Amino acid sequence: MADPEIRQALIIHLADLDEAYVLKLVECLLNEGKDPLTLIKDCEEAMCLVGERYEKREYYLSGLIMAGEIFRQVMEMVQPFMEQRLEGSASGRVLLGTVQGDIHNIGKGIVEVALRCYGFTVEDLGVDVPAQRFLERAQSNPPDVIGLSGLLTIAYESMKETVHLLGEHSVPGKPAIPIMIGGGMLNEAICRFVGADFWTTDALEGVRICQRIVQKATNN
Amino acid sequence: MSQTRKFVIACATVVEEMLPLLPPDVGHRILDFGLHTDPGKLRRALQEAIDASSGQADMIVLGYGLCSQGVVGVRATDCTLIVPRVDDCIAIFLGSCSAYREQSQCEPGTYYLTKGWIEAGDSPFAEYERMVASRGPEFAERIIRVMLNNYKRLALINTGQYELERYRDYARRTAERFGLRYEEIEGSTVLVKKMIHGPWDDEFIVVEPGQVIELGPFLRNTI
Repeated sequence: MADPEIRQALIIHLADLDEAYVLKLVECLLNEGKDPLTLIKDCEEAMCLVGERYEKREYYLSGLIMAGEIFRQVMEMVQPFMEQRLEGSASGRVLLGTVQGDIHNIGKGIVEVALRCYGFTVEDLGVDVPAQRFLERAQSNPPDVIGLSGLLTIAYESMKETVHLLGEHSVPGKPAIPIMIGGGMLNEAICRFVGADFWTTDALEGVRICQRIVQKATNN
Repeated sequence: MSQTRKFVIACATVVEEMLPLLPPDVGHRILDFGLHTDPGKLRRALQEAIDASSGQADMIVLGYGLCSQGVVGVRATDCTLIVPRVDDCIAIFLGSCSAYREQSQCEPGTYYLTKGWIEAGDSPFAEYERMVASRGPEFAERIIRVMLNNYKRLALINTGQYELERYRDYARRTAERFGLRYEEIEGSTVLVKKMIHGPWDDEFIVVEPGQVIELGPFLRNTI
């Protein structure tokens, strides 16, 4: 198959949730020396198709989860090849966790793998994480970005509390650590309510936000 | 003085709790339970139902909470909208927002079931059965484990509105099958009664004709 056909095959089979085919194809493409970034881009396009099929009720929640599982495995396969690709470029450290009162971690898990894939060091505090725990870790080993995750409405309160606590303990004269919130139901209004700096509903967009934050800090 | 004409628009699960208490002169419309997974669709369905009902009522009570922000942005041009100031229907079944918070604090990893939720068949457990049929047991088992990751408890809410035995059996078997702790927790009809009869106090968002339901008042409760 020619390159465009192979790329299309990857997109179609991931959108069709054909796990065995996708993983085999990715393995072959990586061994042939194909650009891992192109693979990720194609997987991202496939994930958009999965989202559209869910909206049209062609897929249930299980379809979204299966797509996430395949995507996560692809990112894990791609990671060693990305290390060579990213050598010398800026990466950073991200402190992640699902906030207190919420236990959902599927999206956070995908963000974590995606961040590692792009060279970030990630400390994941798990789920139902109290604000105080985020503060303790941020103080003992300051990250470049703090990522607060949550799916339930109850998580907004915890996110706000965490942002507030971190703000109260920011070090005078030093820039505050940027805070990004992530979750399936977030939007600009929730971000304003919480007082976070960034928000996302998309794992790879979360990576791009972290990259921009680190790049900006490096330039300064 | 003429009496205020009320109309109820409710999700299929919430209406199960409202119908036994609904006076005969209060009309109602039931919306599909599945809408909760798509806030955009829920918003459009609600707006359409409100537009269709507003001529026959002075006040429309929505049997919804914030529900993934599906209620945000809807309006009634010529009648008042009343919506409980809660995250979702679980708070309605438990009787208040604070009762929901208490349950959540006691075990954040709780999956809640009611008669309505079980009958609507839109739970991970019902999806498991569909997955077994369509993709086989191995696939179904793998996905349900991801779905239920960090869930510890399955709680059946007993609002006292109906015979629970059949639902109790289902919930107990489901909990056992998926390794969750089964608990039955006391629900309450306090909020449902207030939705129907008032007073529409701080536990509600009251939206005047022409105004839209906004996100802010729902979040005000949370801090």
